[in-house]
Amino acid sequence: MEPFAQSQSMRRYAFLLIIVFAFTIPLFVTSRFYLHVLIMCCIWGMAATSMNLIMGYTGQVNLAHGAFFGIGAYASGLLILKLGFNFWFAMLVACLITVLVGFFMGVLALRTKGSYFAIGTMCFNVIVTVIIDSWDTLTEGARGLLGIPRPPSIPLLFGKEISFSSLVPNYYLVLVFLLFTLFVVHRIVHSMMGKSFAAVRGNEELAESLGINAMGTKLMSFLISTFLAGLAGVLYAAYIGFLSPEISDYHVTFELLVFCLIGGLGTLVGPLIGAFILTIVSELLHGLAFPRLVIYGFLLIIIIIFLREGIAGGVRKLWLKVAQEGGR
Amino acid sequence: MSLFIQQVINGIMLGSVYSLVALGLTLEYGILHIPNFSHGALYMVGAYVTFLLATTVGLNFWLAMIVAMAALAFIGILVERLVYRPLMLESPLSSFIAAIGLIFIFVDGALNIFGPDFKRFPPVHSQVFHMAGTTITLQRILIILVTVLLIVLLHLFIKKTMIGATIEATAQDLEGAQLMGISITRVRMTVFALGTALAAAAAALIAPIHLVHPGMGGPVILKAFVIIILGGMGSIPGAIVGGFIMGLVEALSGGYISTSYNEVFAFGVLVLVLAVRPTGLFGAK
Amino acid sequence: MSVKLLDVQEIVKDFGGLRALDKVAFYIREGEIFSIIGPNGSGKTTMFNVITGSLRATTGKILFKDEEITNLKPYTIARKGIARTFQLTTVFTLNTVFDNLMISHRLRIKAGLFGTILRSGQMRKEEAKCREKAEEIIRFIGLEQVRHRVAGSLTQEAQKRLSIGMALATDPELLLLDEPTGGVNMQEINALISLIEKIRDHGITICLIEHKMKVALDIPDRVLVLNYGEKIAEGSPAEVSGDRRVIEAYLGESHAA
Repeated sequence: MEPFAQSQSMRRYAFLLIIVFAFTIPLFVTSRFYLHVLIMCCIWGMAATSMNLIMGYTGQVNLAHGAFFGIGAYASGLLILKLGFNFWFAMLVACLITVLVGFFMGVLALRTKGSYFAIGTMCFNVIVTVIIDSWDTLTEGARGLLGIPRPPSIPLLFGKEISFSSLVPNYYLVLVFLLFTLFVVHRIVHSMMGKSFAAVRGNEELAESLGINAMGTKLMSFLISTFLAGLAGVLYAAYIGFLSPEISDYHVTFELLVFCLIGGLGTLVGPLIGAFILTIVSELLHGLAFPRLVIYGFLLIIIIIFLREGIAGGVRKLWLKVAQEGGR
Repeated sequence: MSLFIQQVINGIMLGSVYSLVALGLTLEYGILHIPNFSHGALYMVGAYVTFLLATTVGLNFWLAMIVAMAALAFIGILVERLVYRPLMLESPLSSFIAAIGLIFIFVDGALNIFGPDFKRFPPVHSQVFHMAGTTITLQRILIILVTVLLIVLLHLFIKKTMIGATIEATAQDLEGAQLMGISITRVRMTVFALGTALAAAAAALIAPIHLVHPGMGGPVILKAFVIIILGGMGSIPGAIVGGFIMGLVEALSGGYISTSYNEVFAFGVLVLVLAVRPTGLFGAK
Repeated sequence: MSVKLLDVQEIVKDFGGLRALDKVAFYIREGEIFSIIGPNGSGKTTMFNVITGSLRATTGKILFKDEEITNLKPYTIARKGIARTFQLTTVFTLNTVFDNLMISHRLRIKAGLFGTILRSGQMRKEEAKCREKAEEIIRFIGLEQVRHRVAGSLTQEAQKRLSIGMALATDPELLLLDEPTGGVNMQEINALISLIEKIRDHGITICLIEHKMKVALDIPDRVLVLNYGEKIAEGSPAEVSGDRRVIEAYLGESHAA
């Protein structure tokens, strides 16, 4: 087998092992604190992976991602609390609302390029946060939206049920959705649609001359990524139970950006790795007087100057080099 | 009517501050093509330095401002040399991201060193004037006057000195300037020193009125980018005029409509303009 | 009876005060090799850009197979059957040769979201089509040996062949080649010429922009000469090379007559 195919099937085995491992974690990790950290890792991992789709694979610096996370969270929270929607139905509708807002923003913003697009999307992020904060008759503004319930219990056979009042079922819930997100992104990236995204990222003019509708492609990538961001927001709202406008703030966007960059844009697992490592580190050091962002800042600068592809990207390059040499 | 005049004066004052910040930014982005998103964070550092000098060291306000400008010019040179220079040949996106890293460092650093509370500046230039039914403190008038002075000085510097000429030459044609023996390194350093010093001046001027806190740079930098996109990257008149318009829009809409939404107006305008003209009002191609 | 495949009617292109194309009119017949020549800055690439929709024509019409295509978007024009290469060889430098060819056929398939995620039978068939086309083209242009090499690591000449292959993978009826022999040495020119003729033999109409006289006058059936954005001659290579105005434009007035 060529070294490339060899490394591919090895990677698949590794993935399966990790997934199985992930499912068995609650058997030996019983501490509430660590389970909480893992749940947050999964949620941020979803948000970061979805950001990777528009940024890493399609090459558009979207700095409004936090806004969509927040919209998904608030939409589902409000639908459940104020309109009495069922959790699963609220999840679906909230994600659709997020995509709708994303569509509006995408159609306006994607006409611009590069730094203009970055700034435009950042302004949009600010607008969303300000609206959530100021429209307090709808969103409770700075008072915060409180009391969002956990998902309703899922009835099983023999009178048993899965109740989300304890942590473990919540962990499995977010794990399943994380895997769903990874699955969707994986399928897209390895398809002709994914190749179109990469083409637009590589050279937009060339892609257009080959018959690829650049604007439509960017919009599609954007919409999928906002849907998944909204989904992460919904899970966040149901798990944490209360929301404040900060959850859609551009600081959230920046943190997601850091996860993606440190883990490696443009690789599937990079943002996940970034999200996991940094969430774990920041939760563990939560109590200490720890200038977390200062360290992030230094990390970011060092990575962008010296290790542009992040950890996962660097590992992949190393792996390919080793695989190529080993194949001789 | 007096509310109107009050808000107009407020607007011109705010506009002065925005102009200075936008000027610094447009020099950096227009001439060096560096989207220095950390400009706002440096502005904030300038405010803190001035504050420290005025309170702890007890310097006269103007002296504090000048020293702060010098200090920030130095920090600006460091930032250019250590962060932006290595990324010179990469896409502007990398510089943008590095800038975000710088923001984390400066803002969170300030948060940790000084705490999140709003620092009150010692009273300075607080004589009050009454005109046409409005109340203005001396500080507000001085802000406008000093801004005009700085703009004139900047203009003279660029038009009348050798260094200014080399900056103009580099802005027009990078390769040509290099072929003529102009040291691009020097130009980069000078432009950054200038830009950061202007931001420090703006921060020092507004600090007694708006108080000093770690997040003060955030809204300012976004508005500055809006100004230079609308006014034209690298256009000095664009930055000045744009700054004053921004200040007036903010003051008037804040006074007549609602303060919570006034940021939304500025950004909304930007989003709309970009939707119609994706390359900005004065952009090419 | 040869059909007018591309009909360019009095195209004017102004850039602000500068007139780059001044009422240029010509047509290309189906199945021929047509070339556009002229001194630097005469508007040849601008003409290509207007045809492919990268630039808007100020006035004038362009018809392709009797259908008006003026000012349509580049991707629409590509889908209608006009493909092009660029003067500065343009490929997706970070992808493999094979990937470059696969993506070039994307315009001929449907790639819906749900089909993509579920990898439906339809989706797999569409992907197989792209794969087949890529195989076909990679043999045609002779790059099978380097199919897994990253495009940016190929030689200049191989990259040129790849970019031509990519344009071919879009299944065009008209192929616009912008200076295909630019930056290529004498040996390689002959190989490229046979490739171009091979393409013509497969039924694709070709329009070249060329600088090198040998290529510009030897292989085409008809030639258009531009100077300062104006058409100064159109006809067979023999007619055009004897034309007074053409000689003047290239060599200066003293050489004419």
